[in-house]
Amino acid sequence: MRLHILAIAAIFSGLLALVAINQQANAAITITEEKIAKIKNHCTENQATLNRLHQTDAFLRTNRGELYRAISDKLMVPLNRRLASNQLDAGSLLTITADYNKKYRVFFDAYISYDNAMSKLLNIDCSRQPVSFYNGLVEAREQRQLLSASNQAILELIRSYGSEFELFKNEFEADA
Amino acid sequence: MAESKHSTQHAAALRSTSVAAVQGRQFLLMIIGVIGISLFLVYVALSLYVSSGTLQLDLSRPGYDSARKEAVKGSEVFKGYSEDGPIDAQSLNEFETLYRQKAAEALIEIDAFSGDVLSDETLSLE
Repeated sequence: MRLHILAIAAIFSGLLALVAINQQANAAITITEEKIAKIKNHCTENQATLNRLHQTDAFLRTNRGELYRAISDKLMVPLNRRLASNQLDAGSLLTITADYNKKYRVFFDAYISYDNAMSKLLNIDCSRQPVSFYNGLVEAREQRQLLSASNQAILELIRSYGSEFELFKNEFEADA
Repeated sequence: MAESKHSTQHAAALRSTSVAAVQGRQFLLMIIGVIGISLFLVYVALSLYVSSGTLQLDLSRPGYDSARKEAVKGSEVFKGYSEDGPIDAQSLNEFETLYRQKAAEALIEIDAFSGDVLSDETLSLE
């Protein structure tokens, strides 16, 4: 019984420590009075801008997602299978396709995190809670950077696959 | 004899009343059970909707009218490259044309999701 109480107390104090660390991390963002005033002054226009951005991003994400999936499912994978069925070595193309699918998953998850951060930000009243709003903005900015990085990684793999295909094609034509 | 017949009738009447009561209760329990199962299934469906990331991609949500209209405009079916067939110069050229077209579409918006739009400067917070 005592052991149980001790274990519960240990878990509880651990959780408290985590909360304290988290609060310290949040408090690390210092906002000047001047910035608070600017947040309040531009509150309405910024909320409208962020709302528009949220909508544009949703469309962009859907559009990009469809395009990226089409490149993988309707071009990369069919070519890899066709090369395999013709007993041709396409190891590097297969590796790039596997990396591409991994990066797509990262992009997929990054957008969810970003969208959650944006939704949270849009729910904060910037005229009443300017500090929370700014913290939310910083969080959304970080998530957007991660999303942008994952998007860039996918684009890089699209380029790589194209270059690798050109090499393959040249070798194939030289051998023929 | 008459007394015995009366008590049998009384017992039968009591039995039919209690059967009706049990049946009524069973019907009520069934209704409650059906509602409970429905609520549980709705909860599971909504949990999957949120956890799978479909929520974030759902343009039918309220407030996404403009995004929805844009999405409808550009909807066209891309057939892609066939998995079957021989590999020769013609098939490789066909792939190259399709890949270049899609790669150009992907690479045209190179700054998609760039961080500038959320900067202090853009939001006049600097």
